[in-house]
Amino acid sequence: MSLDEALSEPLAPVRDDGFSVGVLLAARHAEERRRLLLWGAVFLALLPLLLLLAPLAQSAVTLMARISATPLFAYAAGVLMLLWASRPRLLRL
Amino acid sequence: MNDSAAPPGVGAVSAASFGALVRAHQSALRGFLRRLTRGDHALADDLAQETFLEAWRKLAQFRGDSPFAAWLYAIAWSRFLMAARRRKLEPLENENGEAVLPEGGSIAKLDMEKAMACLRAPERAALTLCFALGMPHGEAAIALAMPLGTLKSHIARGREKLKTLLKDHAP
Repeated sequence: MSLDEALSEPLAPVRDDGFSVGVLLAARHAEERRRLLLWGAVFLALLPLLLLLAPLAQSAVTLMARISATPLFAYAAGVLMLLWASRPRLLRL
Repeated sequence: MNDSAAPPGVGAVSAASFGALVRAHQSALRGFLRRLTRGDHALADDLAQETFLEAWRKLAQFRGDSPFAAWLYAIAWSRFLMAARRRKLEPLENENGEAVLPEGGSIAKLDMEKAMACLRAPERAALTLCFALGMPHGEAAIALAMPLGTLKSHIARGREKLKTLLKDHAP
């Protein structure tokens, strides 16, 4: 057998034996890690904005709580409810 | 080299079709890496897995300018070079660049694999791609990221060393 013939002998076949499944599993895990990292980075990028808006949100909640606790708000809400309930009759007038 | 197991289309590769690609190429790629790592099966399989994972990540970037096999083997070659640098794999040659047998290498049992193991990595890679895997020289040059002339020099030098080794140490 010449050298070229010996060199051209195909490589010994390598049995899969779960190698492909292992690669696919590793690819899936890598994809999940990548996604987690991506969302983590997005969250970290938005964190300063959230912290900036947090006092505003807190103020809005406090304001709503104060308004809803006043008798005037209860009166206005009652009137609105009555109007809504009697809407069919009012529309017939 | 048969390139029938190429990706079905850029950006359209599902996990199932990637699985088919891995199954189609795993034997030849692992064989190639086993030869590069001088028969270190564990290291070769680790490198093969890293190669496929990198291919999976970069599959959307594959534009089909070169055959898929050349692209895949280019990743494998670069992974092997990184591992060789990291692990400081020593070339088996003397100061004159001549191949020498590894210590304890039995002359009587010398065969092609053992002779191959005495060559430098680029020579092993070039000879394996062009002969055992039947890859055209142009594709092999792309896979090994070297000019065509350099690839041919590696092939010529590798063949000369093999001739000497097999002649000098034939049983």
